[in-house]
Amino acid sequence: MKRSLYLETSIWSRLLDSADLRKQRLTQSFVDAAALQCRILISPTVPAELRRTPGKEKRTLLLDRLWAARPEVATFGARAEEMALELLSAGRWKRSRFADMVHVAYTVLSGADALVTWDVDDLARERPRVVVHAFAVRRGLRAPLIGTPQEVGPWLGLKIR
Amino acid sequence: MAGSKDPVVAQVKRIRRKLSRKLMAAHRKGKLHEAMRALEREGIEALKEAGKRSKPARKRARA
Repeated sequence: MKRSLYLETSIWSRLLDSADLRKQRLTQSFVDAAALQCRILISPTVPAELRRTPGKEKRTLLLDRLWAARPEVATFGARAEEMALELLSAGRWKRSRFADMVHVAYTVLSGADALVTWDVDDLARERPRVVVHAFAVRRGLRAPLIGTPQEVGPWLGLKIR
Repeated sequence: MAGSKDPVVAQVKRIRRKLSRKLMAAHRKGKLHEAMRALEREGIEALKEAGKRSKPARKRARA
């Protein structure tokens, strides 16, 4: 069975990052490898966030790149926001983290193997990993790995060129 | 939540903080479900528009 990866907005935004070409190329290789070897999952929140990217040309290109990757769009109705609120409470995070928790909730609800992000300041850190793992296990759900493409690739044995 | 040194992440976080404020305001009014569904519709519509844009490009590539 194919692995499934939830790619949150920072991954797609990175595809047009001209300031850090190393990360941009790494992300492109990761997305290409994931498209061949895994199911790529997003939530409708991803294109909704990309749609808020400043610069019409850039956001159009980002949405086109997202569409071209043919991700599966997961929807869970009210369960997503209910779980996001529970996650916020479980981690005692501020309300300003709610939108972060929406992505985590979609990842957990879709049973994805990993949440892939470039957010090393908040999401891809030890505490959120521990909190989300405990949260999912308590509910009998699959606990996703949370990490950057550099981390998730080797964790899942993805062959990235 | 301090600003990220990574400009890509910082941009996404700015967008997400605004969204969080909007959604939490809706939650206080008991309207979180409606706000989330509207956000979902917006995202799906944005993807559909991208799909429509790609059709002429694919036709050109096949020609």
